[in-house]
Amino acid sequence: MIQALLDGILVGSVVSLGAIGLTMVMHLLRFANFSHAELLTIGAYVALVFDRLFESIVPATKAAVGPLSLTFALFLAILVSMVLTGLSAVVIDRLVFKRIRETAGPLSMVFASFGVALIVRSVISLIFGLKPRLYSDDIVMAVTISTDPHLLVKPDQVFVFGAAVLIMLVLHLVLSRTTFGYALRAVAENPTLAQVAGVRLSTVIAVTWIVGGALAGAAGVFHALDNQVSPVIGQNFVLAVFAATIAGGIGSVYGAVIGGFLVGIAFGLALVILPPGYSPAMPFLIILAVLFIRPQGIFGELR
Amino acid sequence: MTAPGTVLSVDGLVAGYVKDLPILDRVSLQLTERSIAVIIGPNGAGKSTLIKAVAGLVAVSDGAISLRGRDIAGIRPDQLSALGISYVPQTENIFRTLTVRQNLLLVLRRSKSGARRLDELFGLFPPLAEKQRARAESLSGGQRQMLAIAMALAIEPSVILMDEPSAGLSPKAAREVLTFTRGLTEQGVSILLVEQNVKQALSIADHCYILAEGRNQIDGPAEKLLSDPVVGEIYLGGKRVDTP
Amino acid sequence: MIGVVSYLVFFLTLAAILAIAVLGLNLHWGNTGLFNGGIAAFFGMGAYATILLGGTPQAGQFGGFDLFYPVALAGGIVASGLLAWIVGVATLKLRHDYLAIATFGVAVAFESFVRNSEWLTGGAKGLRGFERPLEAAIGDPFLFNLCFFAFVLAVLTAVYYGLGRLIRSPYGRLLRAIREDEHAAQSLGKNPARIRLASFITGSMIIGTSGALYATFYAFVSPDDVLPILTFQIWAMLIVGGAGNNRGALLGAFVIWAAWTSSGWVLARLAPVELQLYTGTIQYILIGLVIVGMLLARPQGLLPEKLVISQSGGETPRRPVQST
Repeated sequence: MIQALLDGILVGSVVSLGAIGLTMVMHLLRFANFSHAELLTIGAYVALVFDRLFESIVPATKAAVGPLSLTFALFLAILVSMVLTGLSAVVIDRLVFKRIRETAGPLSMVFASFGVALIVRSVISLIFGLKPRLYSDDIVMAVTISTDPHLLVKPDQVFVFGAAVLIMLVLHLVLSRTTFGYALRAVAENPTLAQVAGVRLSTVIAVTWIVGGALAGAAGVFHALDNQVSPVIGQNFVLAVFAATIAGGIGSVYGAVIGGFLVGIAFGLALVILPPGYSPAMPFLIILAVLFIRPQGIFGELR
Repeated sequence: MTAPGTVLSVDGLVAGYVKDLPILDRVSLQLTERSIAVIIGPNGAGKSTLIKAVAGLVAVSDGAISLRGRDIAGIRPDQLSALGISYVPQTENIFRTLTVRQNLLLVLRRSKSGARRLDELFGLFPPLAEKQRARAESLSGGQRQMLAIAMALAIEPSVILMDEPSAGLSPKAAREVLTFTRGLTEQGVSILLVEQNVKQALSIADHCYILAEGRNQIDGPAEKLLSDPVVGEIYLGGKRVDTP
Repeated sequence: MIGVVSYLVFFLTLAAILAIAVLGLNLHWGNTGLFNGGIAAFFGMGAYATILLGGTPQAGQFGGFDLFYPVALAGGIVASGLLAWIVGVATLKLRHDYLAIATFGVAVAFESFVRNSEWLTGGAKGLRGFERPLEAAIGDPFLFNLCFFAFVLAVLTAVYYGLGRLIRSPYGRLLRAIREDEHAAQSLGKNPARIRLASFITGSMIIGTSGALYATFYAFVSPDDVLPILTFQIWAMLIVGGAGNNRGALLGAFVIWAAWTSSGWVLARLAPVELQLYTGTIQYILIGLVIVGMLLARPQGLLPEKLVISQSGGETPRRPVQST
C-alpha cells in the first residue's frame, strides 16, 4: 500500500509538471488544449536526441551521475529539451492557435488541438519509429529503503521527485517575488486591467506557452527516465493532466500541483485496488468526482 | 483644430463594443492642461464607453482621439502608460490576489526609480503603507479606491482618466476623493472624469460635458452648468439638444 | 467490373454508415452547440449492444441472445440513448471546454472498460458470432451487400429527412435559440437544460444507430473500433462539410471517407515495405492536417450554414483574451 503511494507520488510529480502549463493556458486562452500532453512526448524525444548527441561529441558525459542511471549528457539534454519544448509550444501557438482564436471561437481551438495532437504524435512516430526506447541500457536496481513494510525506491525516482519539486519551487519564487511573476498573475486575474497597468498581453501569452511547454517537456523526460521513451506518452497522460487541472482549479498553479499529486496517488492506489487495465479510466473518475463535489476545483473560481 | 493648451482632444468619435453597433455617435471633447473636465449624463449615455475608447479598450470606427496633437485612437491599452496616461476603471480596478505592495510594484515595473516612487506613494497614502503586505482583497472599499488611485499615480502621468471614482463610497469619502483629484491638477496633471455624483463633480471641475444617448448635449464651464436648468431637464429625460 | 462495383458498394455503405454518425453529431454541435468529445463511446455502445443482443451464443461469453435483428438494432440504439442520458445528466451543464474533456473521458473510460471486461465484451479480442440478417437467405454475397447498402441508405435518408423536419420545426428554432443565447430562451419560459438533454440523447442515439449498423456490417466489434481516432474522423467530417447543416454533414462524410480510404490504398501500394507499418500513422497526420487546415482556412466548412446571429442583449460576457 505504501509502495503504491510512493509510486503514486512519483507519477504525481510528472502529472503536476504537465498540469501547470495546461492550467495556465486553459485559463488564459479559455480552451481545453488536447495537444498539451504531446509536449511531454516532444520533451522526451528531444532529450533523447541531445543525449545521444552529447554522448557522441563528448564521450566523457556518458558517465552516470552518482547512483542514478542519469548521465551527464542526459542531464544537459534535459535542459536543452526544456528550452526547445517551450519554444515548440509557442511556435505551435503562433502557427495554429493564435490565428484560429482571432478568426473563430474557442471551440475551434479545441478541435484544432485535437488535430495538432494527432499530427505531433504521428510525426514523432514516423521519425523515431513506434518502438519504445530507453535513455540508458544500464539496469538500475531499486534500493530497499525498508523491509517491513517492503519498500523499494529507484535512485532515478528520487531524482525525478527532487527535480520536479525544485522546478516548482523556482516557479513559486518567480510568481511571488518578481514583477514578471506579478504580471503573469495579474493577467490571470484580469487581463484587461493588466493591460491598463502596462502589461503586454502577447508577451505574457508567449511566456505562458514557453514555461508551460518547458515544464511539460521536463515531465516527459522524467517519465521516460523511469519508464520508456515512446510516442504514446502524451496520449497516456492527456486525461490525467486534464484531471489534475480540473481538480486543482483552472488557472491555479498551486492547484495544478496539488491536483497532480492527487491524480498520481489515485493512480498508484488504483493499480492496487482495481484490476489492471482499468487504470486509464481512473482520471476520468476523478474528473467526475470533482465536477460533482466542487466543480471549480480546489482553488478555482466559479464562472 | 487642437487649440493650444489642449492636452487631449476627441473629435467626432464613433465607437462601440460590437462592430456595426456603435454606442458613441460623433462625440467630441477637449481637455485643457492642468484642468478637470467632467462627463456627466443619464445612465446608458455612453460615458464609460467614451473613457474606454480613449483608453483603447473599445473599438473606434470613426473619428479621432489625439494626445497633444498626436493621434492615439486605437492604441493598445498597454501603451497608455508609455504615453503618460493612466486609467482608473470603475470596478475591478485593483488586483485582488496580489498584495498592495505587489499591485504597486507591478505598475512600477518599467520605472527606473521604482523604489523611490513606491516610498513617495506610501507617503501620500499612509493607510496603504500600513497594509502593504496585505492582499488587496482584504482592503475596505475606500482603501481599494485609494490603491487604484495610487496605481494610477505611480507612473507620474500627465493625464488621468477616471470612471466614477466616487462610486460606492460614503459621501464623506467621495468628497475626499474628489478634493484630492482637484489637488492633482496643481501638480500638472490633467483629468478626464466620468461622474454620477453631479453636484460634487461640478464643484471641482473646470469644464463639463453632458452626454446622452451617445451624443454630446451641451457643454460649458462647470460653474455655469451648475446653475443651468437645462442640465436638470436632460437628466430627467426630457430635453435633448442636437449639437453638430 | 463486378470487383470495382463491389468495392464501390463497400465504400459507399461505410460512408453512409459514418454519415449517419455525422448527422447525429451535427444535432449536438451544429444545432445545440454541444461539444461531444466522446463520439466513440456512443458509437461503440450501439455496436456492442447490437452484437450482444443479436449474436449467436458463444462459449464462455456473455450475450448471444440471438434476438430478431430489428430488436437487436433497436436495443443498440436504446443502449446508446441510455448512456447518453447518464452522461448528459452528469455533464451537460458544464462549460464547453469542461464538456469536451468530460465526454472525451467517457470515451476513454468506455474503451478501457470494453477492452478489459472479457466476460462481458470479449475483451481485446472483441465479439464475434453475429450473423448478418438475411445473409443466409439471400445467398449471393454481392447481392447481400447491395441489399444491405440499400438498407443503410434507407436509414440515412430517414434520419436526414427526420432531422430536417426537426430543425425546421419550432423545436428546432428553440434549439438554435438555446445555442445562441440561453438566457433569452430561459426568459421565454423554456427549460434549456431539459431540451439540451433531449437533443443530446437523440443525437447520441443516432450515433448509436451508426455504430449498430457498423457492427452489423462487419458482424464483429472490438475495442479497436472505439478508439479516439473515430471521434476525430467524425469531427473532421463535420468540420470539412460545414457544421450546422446536414447537407454539409453528408458531404463531409463522403469526402473524408474517400480521402481516408484512398490514402490508405495509395500508401499500401506505393510505400516501401519498411513503411507499411506506418501507413496508419501517415493517415493520422493527413487527417490532423485536414482538421487544422480547414479550421485555419475555411472554418465554416465547405457548405456553410446561413447563420442568423441574434444580438446578445444585456450583459456582454467577458471576452476571451485577444492577443495583439
